[in-house]
Amino acid sequence: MGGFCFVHAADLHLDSPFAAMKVGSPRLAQAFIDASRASLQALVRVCVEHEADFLVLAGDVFDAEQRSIRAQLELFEALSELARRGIHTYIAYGNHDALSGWRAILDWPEEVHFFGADEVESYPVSVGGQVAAVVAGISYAQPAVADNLALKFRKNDGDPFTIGVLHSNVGGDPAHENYAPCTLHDLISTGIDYWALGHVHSPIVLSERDPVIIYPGCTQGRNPRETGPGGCFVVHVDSGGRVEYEFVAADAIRWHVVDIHIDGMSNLGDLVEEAKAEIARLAQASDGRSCAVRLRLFGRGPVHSQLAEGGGADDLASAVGEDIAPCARFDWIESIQDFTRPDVDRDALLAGGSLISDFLSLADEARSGPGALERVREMLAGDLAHPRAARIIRDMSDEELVALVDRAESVGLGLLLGEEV
Amino acid sequence: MRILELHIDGYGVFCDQHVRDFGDGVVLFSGPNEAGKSTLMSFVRGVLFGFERESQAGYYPPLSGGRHGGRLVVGMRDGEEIVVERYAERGQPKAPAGVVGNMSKVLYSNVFAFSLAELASLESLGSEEVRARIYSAGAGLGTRTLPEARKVVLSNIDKLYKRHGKVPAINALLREIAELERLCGDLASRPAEFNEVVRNMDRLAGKERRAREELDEAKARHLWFMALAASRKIWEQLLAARTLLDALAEEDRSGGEARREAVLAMEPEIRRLKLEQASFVQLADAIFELEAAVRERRRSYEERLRELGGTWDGERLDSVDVSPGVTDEIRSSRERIARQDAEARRLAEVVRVRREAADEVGLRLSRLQERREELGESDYDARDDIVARIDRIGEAESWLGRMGVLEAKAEGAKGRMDAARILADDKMRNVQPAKDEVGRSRGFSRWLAPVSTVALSIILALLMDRGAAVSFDVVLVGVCAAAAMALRALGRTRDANSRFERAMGEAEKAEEAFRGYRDEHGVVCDELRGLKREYSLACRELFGEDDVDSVRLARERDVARDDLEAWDEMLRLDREWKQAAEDCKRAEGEWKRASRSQNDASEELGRLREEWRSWLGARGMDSSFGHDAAERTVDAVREARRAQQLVIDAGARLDDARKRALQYVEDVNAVARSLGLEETDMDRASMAVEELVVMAEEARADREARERARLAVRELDAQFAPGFPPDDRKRAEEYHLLHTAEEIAALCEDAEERRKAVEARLNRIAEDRGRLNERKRSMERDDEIAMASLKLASAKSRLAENTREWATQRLCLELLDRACERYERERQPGVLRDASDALAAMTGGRWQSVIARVSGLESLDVVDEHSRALSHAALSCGTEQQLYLAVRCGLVREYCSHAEPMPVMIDEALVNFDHERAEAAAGVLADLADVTQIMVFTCHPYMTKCFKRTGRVTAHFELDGADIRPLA
Repeated sequence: MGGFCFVHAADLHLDSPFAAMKVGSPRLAQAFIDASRASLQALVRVCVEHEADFLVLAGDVFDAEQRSIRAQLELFEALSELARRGIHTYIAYGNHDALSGWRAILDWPEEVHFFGADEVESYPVSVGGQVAAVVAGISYAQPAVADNLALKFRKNDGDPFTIGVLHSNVGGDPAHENYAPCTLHDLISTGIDYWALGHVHSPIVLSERDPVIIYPGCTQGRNPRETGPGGCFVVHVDSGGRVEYEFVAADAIRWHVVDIHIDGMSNLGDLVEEAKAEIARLAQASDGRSCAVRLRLFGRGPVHSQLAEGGGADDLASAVGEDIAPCARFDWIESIQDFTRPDVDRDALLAGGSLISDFLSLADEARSGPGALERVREMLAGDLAHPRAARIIRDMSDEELVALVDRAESVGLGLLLGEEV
Repeated sequence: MRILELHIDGYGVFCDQHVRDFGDGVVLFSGPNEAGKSTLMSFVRGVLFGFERESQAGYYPPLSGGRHGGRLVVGMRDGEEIVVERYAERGQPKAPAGVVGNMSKVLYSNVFAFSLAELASLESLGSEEVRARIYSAGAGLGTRTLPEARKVVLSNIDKLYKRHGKVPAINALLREIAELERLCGDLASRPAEFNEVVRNMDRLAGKERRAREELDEAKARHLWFMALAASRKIWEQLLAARTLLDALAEEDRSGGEARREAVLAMEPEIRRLKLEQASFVQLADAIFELEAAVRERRRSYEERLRELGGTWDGERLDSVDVSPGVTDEIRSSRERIARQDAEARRLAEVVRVRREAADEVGLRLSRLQERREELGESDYDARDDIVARIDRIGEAESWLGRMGVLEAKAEGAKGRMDAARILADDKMRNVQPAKDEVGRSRGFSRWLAPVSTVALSIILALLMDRGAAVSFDVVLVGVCAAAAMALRALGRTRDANSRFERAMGEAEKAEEAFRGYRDEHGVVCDELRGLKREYSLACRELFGEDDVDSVRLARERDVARDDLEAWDEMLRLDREWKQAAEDCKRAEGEWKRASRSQNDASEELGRLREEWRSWLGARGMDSSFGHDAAERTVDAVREARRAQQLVIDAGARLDDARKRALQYVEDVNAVARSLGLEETDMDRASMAVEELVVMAEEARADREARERARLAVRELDAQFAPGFPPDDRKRAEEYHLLHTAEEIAALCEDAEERRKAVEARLNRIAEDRGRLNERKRSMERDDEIAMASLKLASAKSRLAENTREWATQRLCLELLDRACERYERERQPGVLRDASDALAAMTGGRWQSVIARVSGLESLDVVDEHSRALSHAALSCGTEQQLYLAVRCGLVREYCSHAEPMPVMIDEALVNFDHERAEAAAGVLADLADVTQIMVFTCHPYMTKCFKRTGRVTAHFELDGADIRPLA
């Protein structure tokens, strides 16, 4: 067997709507729409630059079953480009782009291979005229697959180096939908040499050798929770079957969450400086990529009241963020979450026997009284006549409700003490 | 806060009023109506909260002068004293004074500083403002009131969501989300549409292929019939041409062709004869003209010969050289001789001028020589000797002048020396008297008088024997007198010394001046002697004498200067004489050269004239001819020769014309013979040629008609053939033979119709394909789904955020309302308890307590001693006012328990109370003085007594409409 190289990627989520994100300007919206496509182009560049023999895509190439025509055409063109260079592509569909979804009528090149959903399909990979490896994989027939698909894989004696391509939740990670669940043991017991997994959006190496099991993560973060670099793994397999791999970033916009404590700051200017410095550091660490940043503010201090003043947070966002220019990198403030508190002695106010002490004690009761959070939830949901808005309230966790009470207390306290909101 | 002092600068009827010493209890202000009670109350309220504007009720301009306003000195609860000053002037602050804290003007007017009008109204107590300020004071709030805070929150809530609203953020977002979801639903059908488009495009491609095949067939048929229709006329002409060609071929076969070919064989010769026909005719005419010309020219030639002379003939004409260069030679010779003649004359003039110049120079040389002889030889050897003598004489003259000056100077110095000697002797003579006076002033006598005086006083004292004291006085007087005399004597001595010293100084100065003049005279005399020695030496050197006067010196100097000028003139004459001698020599040379040139020119002129005579002889002309005669003879010979040549030329042309005419006639006869025709002569030759030409043209036309017929067949065949493929050509001719033109046109129209129908169908298919292709490309490029999804996600995100913000504000409002409710519920009993106590005290226990029916003061009930409740509306006017007064007392106590106490001012509020209740009310208000300052304004003496009877009145002031006076 000769040595070879391949690129392992998953969860491209082309045409991702970037959920839970506020996009104000059309330029910004276009920038984010183009981001997943740009990461696809980056993936192609990685394959070419590393002279990969083939590319493996382990599911969720598209973000939705009803994938857009343009996204399909862009994938078509990208993979056709690889095909023109003799680089084959092996694609397994996942829960987001199951086989039941619509596909445009496209005349795919011979070098592009789609795994079916009925059974594990295998394609031999020839390097230098000899079969160097086998790529085996299976796609989702429907978005929700509860079967353990890993059990359908098997490497027989005498088979060459085998790569298993699967979109699966290994170990039942509660942070992700439990599709095609399996255990690490299930994967190891198949005898597959390299498991090219998909589904988990952060790069994770579950097993470093015998077999190598890797989640490459998504190529482009889609929301403030998906921070850090997105990309793929470049895998080198030598003639002895020894595997070496490295992570290569392919994202176009990188997400960051920045926590800043206002304690010790005297004015909004200090906060702006701190935020700018932090964002500059992140920008430098992002290798020239655009950055989408969520600022979270904590602590107590005079800056709280300045933030609470009309437009304080907006002023901060405009002072720290940048205008989005076409085809240029940017640092965009996605949102500013203000968890700061007024600079007051709450205990003293609570013991003052005044209207404020009544206000604070009621807030305490709303937070911790028996069934109090439920009453708050119902009261708020009841006031919102629209079901969709009411559902947002009802879907709030207790922690979120407590944060809500904290914020309400902060606002009320500011008002009673003479602050503007 | 208590008012300690007040100063009215100018306010209403008051001007420059200062009031103080209010004490800790009730302060009474009494006076009749219009005495200024309400004005004073308004002043206090105005200083604290701002004066009313001119347009408002309660505006009190300063009627008695002064600045509109004044100041208060207030004492705070913590002991601090603060001056509050306010003037109703531009630029002054309008906001309430800082000392009032959370208090507003409305609250103060309704609860703390009220008149009967406010007391009689429940609304003045139940307003939000009053409640808010009372409660916010108790709540420990900042500058914001509870309703203000609540209003902010409500405003925020309304901005975010309204149950039936459209504009608030959440409502707008819900609507936006619904629209985006609809849009996404619509866009979700796009993928299926894409595949449908692809399938339809495939179907249309098949249809298009078939239609194109059908179109090719229809086009071919249409083209076939179009070609037939287009070639119909040609085919008909072709058919006619072929018929004509067949008829001509038949005619040739009957012998016509041989005749035509014989004529056509001679056609080039006939054409040549025709071409030369006109020349021939002109030639015949020219022969007669040439004969006349020969005669005329011969006559002209003979005339020319006669003009030259009777001996001239053709032979002699030939002997004379009249070539073109002859005239030039004549002219050249004439010019050379004329030029040489002019040169000879010019040189003769030069010789004359040179001779005159030489003579003139010689004359000048003679004159210079005569002048040199006149000047003769000089006494000096060199010019420098003369110059030295002149300088030496000048030097002696200057010495002589200097000697005169020194003699005058020595004379002046001697005069001054003598005068100084006399002055010094005079000064010396004045010294001795001064010296004598000094000696006298220093003598014993000057001390005599004082000593005598002292001694005399002692003696007198001894003589008087009047006791020691008197004696002492006498001696003392004597001593004093002696001292005065001694001082005077001393003064005289100082004066004498001074005069002596001055005389000595002047004598020494005069002596010094004398010595100076003497020295000066000596120096001048020495210098004069030296000069005289020098002058004597110079005179001896110049004139051999020791002494010469200045006149002689001047004369000798002029002589020397004349000698110098003569020397210089002799030098100049020498230079000029030499120059003139050279000029004379050069003029003689030039004259000689000019003479030689003149001779040469004359010789050359003679040679040229001889050469001319030789030239005339060589050309057969008289050697005595001048140039003009020679030139005229040459011209006449040339004319004669030209006439002779014209005669020869005309004869030659006549012979040539006759020869060419005869040749042409012979050529015509040759053609006629070859065609078997009769011969002709010179007179009929032209007509014969005309006949030959007609024959040739007929033969040519005959042949061309046959050629045209053949050509027409070929051309029509060539036109007809390209309309059809070679294989179809025969079929096309057959088609023409079998069908009429109308039939073919109808078939062509049918084929065109069919072709157009197929083309239209194909265009429709192409348009459909274009549309589908455009749609496909549009869908391929379309970001609408992604953009709509992004917008939907963004809207949902903003909805969640706004909903959270709404929930925050709503929860905040809920907490505020519940806090307020709890506060009112738990704290209001304190207010009502105080109010109940006050009411019971005022009504003598008739009404026991006050109840607020809602959480506020909107509705008040009272309970009597039998625990029966009654609405405030059911109470009598006086009792109702007592209820409101009692509630105010409770509110004042509540407010003052949490905030800085404000002074309570009551303006005739108790007038509706009976005496008993008025006195009780006075007691209740007097008790309130424990909490805050109480100021009562009344015009009723009884009311004054009521308050005084409480024993809490600490100050009483009387107002009279102009002054505020304290009462004892």
